[in-house]
Amino acid sequence: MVGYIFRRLLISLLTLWLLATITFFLLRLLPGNPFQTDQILTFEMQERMMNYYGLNRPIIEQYFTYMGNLLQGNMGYSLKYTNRTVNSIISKAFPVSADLGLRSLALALPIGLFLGIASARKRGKTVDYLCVIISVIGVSIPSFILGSFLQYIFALKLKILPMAQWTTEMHKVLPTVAIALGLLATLTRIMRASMLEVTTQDYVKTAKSKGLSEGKIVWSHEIRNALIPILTMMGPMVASVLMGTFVIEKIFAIPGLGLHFVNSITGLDYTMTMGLTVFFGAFLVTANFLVDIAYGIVDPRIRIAK
Amino acid sequence: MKKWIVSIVLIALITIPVSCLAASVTPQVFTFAGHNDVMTLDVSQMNDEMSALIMYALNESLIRNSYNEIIPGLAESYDVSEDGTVYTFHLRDAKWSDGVPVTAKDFEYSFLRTMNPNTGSSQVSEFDSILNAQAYYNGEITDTSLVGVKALDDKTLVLTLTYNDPFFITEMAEGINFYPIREEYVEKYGMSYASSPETFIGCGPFVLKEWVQGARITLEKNPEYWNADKVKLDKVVELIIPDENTRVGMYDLGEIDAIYSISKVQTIMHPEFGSRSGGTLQYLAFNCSEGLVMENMNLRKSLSYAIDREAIVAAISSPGTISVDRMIDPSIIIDGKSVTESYPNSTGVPPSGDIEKAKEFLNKALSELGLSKASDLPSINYVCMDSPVHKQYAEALQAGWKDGLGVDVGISILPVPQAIGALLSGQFDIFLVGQSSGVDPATIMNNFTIGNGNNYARWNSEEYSDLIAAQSENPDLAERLLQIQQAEAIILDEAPVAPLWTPGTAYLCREYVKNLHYGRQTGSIEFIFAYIEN
Repeated sequence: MVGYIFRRLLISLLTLWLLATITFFLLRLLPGNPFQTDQILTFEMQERMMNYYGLNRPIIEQYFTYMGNLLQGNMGYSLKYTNRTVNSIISKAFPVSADLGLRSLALALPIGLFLGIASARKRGKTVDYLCVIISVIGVSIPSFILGSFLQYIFALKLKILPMAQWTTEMHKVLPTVAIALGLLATLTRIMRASMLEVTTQDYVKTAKSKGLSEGKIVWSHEIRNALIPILTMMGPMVASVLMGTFVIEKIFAIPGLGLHFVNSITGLDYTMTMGLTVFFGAFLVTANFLVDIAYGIVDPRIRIAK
Repeated sequence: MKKWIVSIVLIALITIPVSCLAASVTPQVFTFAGHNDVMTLDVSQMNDEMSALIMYALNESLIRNSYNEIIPGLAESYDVSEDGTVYTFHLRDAKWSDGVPVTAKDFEYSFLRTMNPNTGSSQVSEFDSILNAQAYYNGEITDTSLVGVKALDDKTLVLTLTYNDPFFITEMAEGINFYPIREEYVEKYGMSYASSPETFIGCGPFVLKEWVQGARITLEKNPEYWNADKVKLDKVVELIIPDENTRVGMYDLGEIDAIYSISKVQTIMHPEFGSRSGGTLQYLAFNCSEGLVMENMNLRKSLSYAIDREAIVAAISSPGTISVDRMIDPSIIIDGKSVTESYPNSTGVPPSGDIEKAKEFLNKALSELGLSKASDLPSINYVCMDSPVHKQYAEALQAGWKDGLGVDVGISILPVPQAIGALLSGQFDIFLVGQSSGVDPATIMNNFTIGNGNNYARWNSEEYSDLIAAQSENPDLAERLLQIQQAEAIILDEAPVAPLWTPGTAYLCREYVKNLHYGRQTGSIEFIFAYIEN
């Protein structure tokens, strides 16, 4: 086990290094520079700013400087929010995005799994059709439409929930629901398909012929095995949900990471984009790692301790 | 039992009027929505509207521009030397929000810090008319005692200019980088200075109470402010709401009192909107480099004459947008009168265009180029910034040229940094440039001199360059304005640029908010002297 974890850790670090390196050079391949904004700076002034931030130095030199700082956990200052470090921006915005993400997951996971199971168990019945309809709607409605729709109904018309901002518990209801519905739909679909596949497996037939009770078959043979595809997608899903969603954060004015992801790239805020990419990468790698360990708990066939 | 009732009635009688009185006093709280966070509160680094708007309330410079008038700030008065190059400011007794007196040293420190090459400020050119400022920020000299900024004592600040600049005071009043800085705060917090309420201090009408980055900024009245009697609001809250529909929704719900910029679509739903114009001028720059198609003056004029500015403004632009036919912003006022009125000039293109004249110019251009019809012209590349309004403008202009003249113009839409890159490196034929029009009427025209890095049109006219050079250091204002007018006549006649309009801004504000003003200094709302009506 220790050897396995150690090996995985090495691979993770290698992945992160590759990610940081590729992003670093790709970003610099984008034409333009961070100081070319719509308030046009003079040519001389841009050169001045490029020099000041060391962006005129040879790219390899910049790369090693950046990597050296990154190794010490220092991601530098944002080029747009001057006076704020990338570390401080992430440390303020990430808890907000993570809070929203966890709330949505907590809402979506039990309901999604339950609907998926119920739907598979009652295949072809009204319950199944209802669940399928819910999941198709959830998957196909873009979140910006759903978010605006929820705002319109609950804030503007019924006036029972606040429109935007991230302050009281009441403020957190609408964005949570808006994200959860999409997640829930995906979870329902996968759980349903996975349950249906498991039901036809030989070991389920064996269990039935052994005369095990229905409940025991569903609980310890079907659901347990059907969860594996869900687990596989949980890693990336958790990581991306906790990292914030641009659209929902924008509509509900939530000070999370989502807006920074988009704005830093369009504004060519190199340090910010790099910082966010590395942070997201590290998070994703960790989440996948945890999922791999969780496999072993759910499915004895994938024990890793060999 | 009776005693109980009597006492309850008595208490009720006493408290009800009191509570009625309390309820009739409207809390002086003003809430508005902005679309982006403050980038920085570091005076030396600040270059965006969001920051300028908040800094205007948190800090105080020597003089202010308020309600389009220059009013005294921390300087009680100032004297100008006879030759107009030495300004002596006499400071009043004023305090920082922690009670420490503001001194001339705080200004000296701030100005020199902005100019210091190690500060990395993009705003150094604000100080260009100050003696040796350019030499200092370009690193040619390091001795700050040679720079024309000097605190003689705690109450006297002397600024020495290189020449008699008639616009200096107005530029200073409208500038956003002339506030004082407390040195000990910079020393203590270093690079993180002014990134939170703890790391920032000001001496303006309001104090920064809370800054939830990306979400909310709360200001409270500063009791230490020298002019605190004039400030009526107790609290100002800026909510940062990136999405326009959300902002307008919150305004409809009464959660916010004002939105300082709304799109044209929203004005249809809210006919009570207000609007303002000026401060920026948008024009087309034609790339006149040798060998490019736009080198031909008649072709440039033809395109210019074919533009129906009136129709485009009516269909696309934000309310308040005014179409212009010259390179000077009509909102620039000198001696109480618009410069454009005192010194008339025009491209001669009527607001709705003149397609017959455009065709005449096109025919001349075609015969000069040895072509028989418009479709034989080499491809023309219009580089457009990726923003909704710019794309609409590009499409409208393209359609006008195609329908009116049969000239095909291709549009390349690029993200803002890349588009600006193309503009600066000359990889375009046509580009819609929007530029701050400044205080000096020649601000935009100064770019188009020979060899200037910001001569976007790459147009070379010796006569024009000489006039621009001559006027820039002319101490006689009337003569200077005449020279500007002559230079402008040349650029309008040769048409390396086609002036379009000064973009407007539409805003929403509840009626009970009084004395709110759209200021030239911030290019945005000024709320320091606003109040909420009962």
